[in-house]
Amino acid sequence: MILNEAEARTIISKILSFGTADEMRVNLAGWRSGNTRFALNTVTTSGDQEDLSISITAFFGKKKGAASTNEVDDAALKRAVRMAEDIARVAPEDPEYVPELASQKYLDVDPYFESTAAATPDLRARAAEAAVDPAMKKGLVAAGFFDHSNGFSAVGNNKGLWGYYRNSNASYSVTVRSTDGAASGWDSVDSRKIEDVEYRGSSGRAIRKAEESRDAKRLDPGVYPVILEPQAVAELMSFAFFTLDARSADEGRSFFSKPGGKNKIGEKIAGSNITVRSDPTHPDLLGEPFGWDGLPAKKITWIEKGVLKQLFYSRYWAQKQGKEPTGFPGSVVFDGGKGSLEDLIKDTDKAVLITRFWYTNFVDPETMLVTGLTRDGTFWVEKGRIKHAVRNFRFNESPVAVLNKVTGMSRSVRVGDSLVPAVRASAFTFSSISDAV
Amino acid sequence: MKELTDIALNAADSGGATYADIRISRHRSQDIWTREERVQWVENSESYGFGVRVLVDGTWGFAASHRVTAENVADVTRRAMAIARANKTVLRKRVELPPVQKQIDHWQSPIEKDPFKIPIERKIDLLLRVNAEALKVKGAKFCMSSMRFLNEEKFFASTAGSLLEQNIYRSWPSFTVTALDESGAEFETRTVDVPPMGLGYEFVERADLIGLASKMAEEAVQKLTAKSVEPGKKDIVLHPTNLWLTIHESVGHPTELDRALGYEANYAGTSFLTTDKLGKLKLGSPIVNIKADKTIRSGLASCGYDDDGVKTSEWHLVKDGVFVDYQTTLEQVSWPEYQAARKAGGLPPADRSYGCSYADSWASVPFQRMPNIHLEPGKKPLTLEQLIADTDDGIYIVGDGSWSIDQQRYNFQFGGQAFFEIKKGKITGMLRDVAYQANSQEFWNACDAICDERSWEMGGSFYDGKGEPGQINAVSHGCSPARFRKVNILNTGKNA
Repeated sequence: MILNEAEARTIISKILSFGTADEMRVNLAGWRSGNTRFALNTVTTSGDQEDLSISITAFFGKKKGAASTNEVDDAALKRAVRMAEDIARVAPEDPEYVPELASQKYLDVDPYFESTAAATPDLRARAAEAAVDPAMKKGLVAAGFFDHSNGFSAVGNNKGLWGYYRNSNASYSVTVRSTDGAASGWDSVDSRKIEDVEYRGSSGRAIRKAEESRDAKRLDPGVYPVILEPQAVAELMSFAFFTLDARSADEGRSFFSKPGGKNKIGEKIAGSNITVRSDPTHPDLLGEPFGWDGLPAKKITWIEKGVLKQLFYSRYWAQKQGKEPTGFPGSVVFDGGKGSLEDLIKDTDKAVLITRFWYTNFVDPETMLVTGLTRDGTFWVEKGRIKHAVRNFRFNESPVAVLNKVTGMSRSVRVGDSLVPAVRASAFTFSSISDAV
Repeated sequence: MKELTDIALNAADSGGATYADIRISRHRSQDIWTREERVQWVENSESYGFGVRVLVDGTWGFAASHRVTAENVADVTRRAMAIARANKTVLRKRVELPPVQKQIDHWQSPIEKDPFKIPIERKIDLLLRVNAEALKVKGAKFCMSSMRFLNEEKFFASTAGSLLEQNIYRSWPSFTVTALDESGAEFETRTVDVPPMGLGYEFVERADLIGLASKMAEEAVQKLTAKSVEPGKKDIVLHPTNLWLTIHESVGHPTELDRALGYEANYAGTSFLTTDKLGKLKLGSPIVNIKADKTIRSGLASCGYDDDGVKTSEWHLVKDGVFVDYQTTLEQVSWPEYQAARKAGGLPPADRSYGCSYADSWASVPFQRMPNIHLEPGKKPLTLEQLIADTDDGIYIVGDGSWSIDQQRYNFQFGGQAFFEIKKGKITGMLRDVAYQANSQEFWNACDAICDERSWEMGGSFYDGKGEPGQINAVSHGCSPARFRKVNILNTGKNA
C-alpha cells in the first residue's frame, strides 16, 4: 500500500494519539513489488505483492517495548500500541536508553522514479525474452530474475520527529549455461530508475561469458594475482565495510579492536590507494535520507588513503564514548580509478579474473578470514587479454589483506546499494578446486 | 474465511484458470534479545494477508495483498490472471499438474505450551539468568541470549475442493558467550548447541539453558589457549549438533529436483546430483541411509499438508548408499525429465508428490522447499564413547560454525563450535582453528561408522534460503554421531 506524506502523517498521528507511553516512535513503510523468474529458457514463477509495515516502539522512562503489524484499521492499531506498551511496562530499565530524537534536518535526496512504479508484468516478460531468445539461438540455456518495487518510508514520534521519503528500485540478473552444464556466465544490473536497467546488454554479457567459459582448464590451488569484477568486490568487501562497528571494536571482539579497549581509528589498515565513504546524495546511488531511529544519513569517510578514519557509532555507543553518532554504513562509495574493466584487463600481465563469488562466510572474524567460491565466469588473463577459462576455486582470504595489495582499479559502478570498482590485487589465496560450474 | 476463498477460486475458474489456490495466513513472531544484564530488544510482530496462485494456459500467475477484503480478493485474483497471461509470450514449457486429491482437514504442531501465552517477564528472567551464569566463569566477558518464537495460522483452499487449516509453531532459544584473553588481543566465542524446534515453550523449559551456560562459557575460555590444529588428513567424529548442517548442505540441497534440472541456476545454483545419476550413483558408503520426512514430531518442516494441498509423507533419498530419489512438489511429478530418470534408474514411476511445496509468507509464491532430512541411525549397537574409543587419530567436532559450499554442492568447508583431539581412542584436549573441507560424494563414501538410535537427535535452522525473491524455510535434520575417514583438515588460524 502506497501512502503520500499527508496520509502517512495522518496514520502516525492517529497511532501516537492511541498511546500513553512517555515516548513513542512509529516507523511506517509500504510498498508494491513485482517480479518474474525464468529458467530453462521458459518463464517459471511470477508475482505482484503489496504490503505495509507499522512498527511501534514505546518507552516508559527507560523501559521499552516494540510491536509491529500490517493492518491499518483502528482496532489493529490500538492492539499494536497496547502490545508495545505492555512489553515496555514489564521490561527492565534499559541502561542503553537514549532519548528519542526531536525534529531533524535531512539531506535532500529523492530515491524515487515514477517510471519504476509504473512497471508492468509485460515489461518483465519482454526482459525475460531478451535473454531466452538469443540464448536459444546459440544453443544455450538462460535463467534469470527481474524485479521492481516502489514504496515509501516514514518515521514520527511524540517529540516532534518527522521524516518521509519515497523510493523505487529495479534489478535484473541472468545466468546463461551450456546445455552440457560445462560453461556458465552471469551478469546483473540495477538502478532506482527502471529505464536504466539495461537488460539486453546484461543478457548479452552473460551469453558472452558463458561462451568464453567453455573448456575451463585446471589451475592448481595457490596464491595468484587477481582481477575481481565489481560484483566480486562488493561481496568480499561487505565483510570489511559492514563490520566497521565501534562498539565491537572497543569491546575487543572485532578485527578493528586493539588491546586495552581501544580501536584502530587513525591506523593505516589498507593501501594508500583505498578510500571508502558513504554518500547518500551520490546520483548513482540516491540513498535513504534517514535510518530506523530517524537519525539523518550523512556523508562520512570511513577509510581515507588507507587510514581508518571512522567506525560506525550507534546513538547509545556514541553517547557513551563521547562521539557523534554516524548511522550504519549505507550508500557506500569505494573510490575507483578512471578506466573500464576492459582497460584494467588490458593493463594486466597475469591474473585470475573473477566474475562473482558464492557462499562467502566468515571463518574467523578476529582475523577477518573469509571463505567462499568463484562462480559463473572465472578466467586466466595473460598479456592484457582473457586467454582461457579456469575451473572454479574455493578461497580462504581476508578482504583487508586484499585492500593492502591493490595494484589497479576501474571506475566504480553500482552494485546493489554501493558503488564499487573492479579491483586488481597482487595476491589472493585459492585453497582448493571446486568441481562446480 | 470460506466466503473469501470462494471469491478467488470462482473468479479464477470463470476467468479460464485450470487450477487456482488461495492462502490466507497470519504470521506472528516474538523476539527477545538480551546481553549481559540488560534487555536489548523485545518485539511482537504480526503480518496478515493472502496470496492467490492461478494456472492459465500452462502458465503460473501469482498476486498477494495485505488488504483482506472481498473486493480486494477479487482484484488480486484478476491481477494474478493478468500476470499469467503476460507471461505466455515467454512460455516455452507448459506447466501440467497431475490430478490433485481433495483434502479437508486441520493440523497443528504438537505444542504443550503456547509460547505466545507465556509472560514476557518469565522469558526475560530466564535469559538474564543465563547471561549471569555464563559471566561467572573467569574470562567470559560477554553473553548474548535470545528467544524467537514463530506461528503460522494458514487457511488454504484450492479448485480441487481442498480446505485446509494449519497452525504451526516453532521455538528457538539461544545464547553465545565471548571470552577475551587477558591482553585483550584475542577473543573466542561459543554458541550453545540448542537447535530450533517445531515445539512450544516446553522445549525452552527442558533445554536446561542455565545448566549449559557455564559449560559454554568454560569452553569459550578454553578455546583461547587450545592447541592450534595440525592440518592434514584426519578421521573426524561429528556430533549431531555439527553433522546436521553438513547433511543439509551436502545432501539436502543437491536432492532438490528443481535445482537438479536448472530452475535455480540464477541464484541458489544447480546440483551435482543430475538426473542421470538417479538410482545409480553411490553417494555414500553402504551404511548411509538418508530419509526425507515432513511428518516427524517436532520437525521444523513438519506439517500436515504442503502449500499445494498435498498430504505430507516420508521417503528415502539415499538407500544403502545409493542416491534413489529427489524432493518433489505437485508440478514436478509431471516433469518428463524426472519420470525418464526414474525409469532409467530402475525406479517405479512417481505417482504422487512428496509434498515439498512451501511459501514463507502469504506474500510469497510456493515452490519446492526442503523437508526434514535425516541420516538414519546405525544398525549395529554403537555409542559415541565406543566410537571415540575406536578412533586412533582424529578430531571430535561439536556444534555448527562457519559453513560454505559451492553452487553445485561438490566442495564444502565447515567449522564447528568446539573441537577435541582424539589420540588412541581418547580425547586428549581441545583444539582450535579447525575447518574440514571435502567433496560431498567422497565425504559420504568415507563414512564408516554411525552410532545407533540411542544418540540420534535433531539440529536445524529457521533460515534455509532459496529462490528469487529470496524465501526462508525452517528445516530439521536428525542423525547420530558418525565417523568419516581421512578428511582434509585446514588450519584457519592467523599463523596458518
